Amino acid sequence: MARFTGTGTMELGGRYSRMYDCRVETVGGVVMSGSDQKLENCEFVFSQVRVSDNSRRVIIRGNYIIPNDQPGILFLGRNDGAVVVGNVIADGVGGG
Amino acid sequence: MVAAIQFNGDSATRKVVVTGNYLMSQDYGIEVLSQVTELIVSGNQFLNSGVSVAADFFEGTIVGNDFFLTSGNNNGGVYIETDNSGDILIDSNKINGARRHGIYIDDGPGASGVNDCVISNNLITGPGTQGPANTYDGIHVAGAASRNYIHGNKIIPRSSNGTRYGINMAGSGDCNVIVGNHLGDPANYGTDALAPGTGNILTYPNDPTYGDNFTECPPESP
Repeated sequence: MARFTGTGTMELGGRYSRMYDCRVETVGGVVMSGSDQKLENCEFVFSQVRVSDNSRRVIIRGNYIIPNDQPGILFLGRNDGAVVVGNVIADGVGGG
Repeated sequence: MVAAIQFNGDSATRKVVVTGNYLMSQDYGIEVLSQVTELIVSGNQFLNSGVSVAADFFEGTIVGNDFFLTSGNNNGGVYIETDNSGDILIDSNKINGARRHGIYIDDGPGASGVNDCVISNNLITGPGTQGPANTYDGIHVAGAASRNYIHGNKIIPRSSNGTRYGINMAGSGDCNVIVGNHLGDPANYGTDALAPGTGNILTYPNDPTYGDNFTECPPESP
């Protein structure tokens, strides 16, 4: 399983990008942009998923998200056709 | 502590489906702070967190969710505070132990009302656990809300008259239809089972005290 640590932000952009089976520990988390992206089966530990303005048809499925004093999934603007399914978002489970 | 899922952008979001998630927060499970239309929230488990809409426009469907709200920050079940909005369906949710109102509809800052919504078939158990007693209702409709249809809900009040009203039509709007809800004995509420408001269409078979105070209503908007 890929593991991402540090303070930065990763961008899942373009079209038909897919990120799966990973562990994200970066405070900035993952930003989804573009269209037709999938984010699946990842663990976010004190991290976050952001869906940027003008993204289309993103799928956020099967992730486990422990936010750190921020929304687990944050929609920023026009995000037509997003599907958020089967995630666990557990604020307050750990520190933060 | 913040929302599990939040909508907070500068432009409108539309056609979003949120389904089958487990949302645990001491704040909101889903918080809508910016304009969203065609939002479907269905089949989610909310632990200590409700749905809050405080946007300038909202339209959506909130169906078949399970809210378990024994703690958290001031959480009610479904709170809608918005303007110029309507066509909202809140149906078949289980709302257990809401800290405040079970379902709450009110205007936003523009005071223009939430209209033409359906609130139906919800099971609301023990709303108003956040004190003091006799402060919160099962369903609370405020502001200019008109032409809403409130049907088939079952509300079980807190013990010791802790829930104020089963359904409280507290706003200035009219032509809301309240029909076929099961509220139980008015004596089990802090104030009463139903506050009917004025100009609404009532059918409340459990207590003939509440007659039909129907007034002539304008046609519904298309």
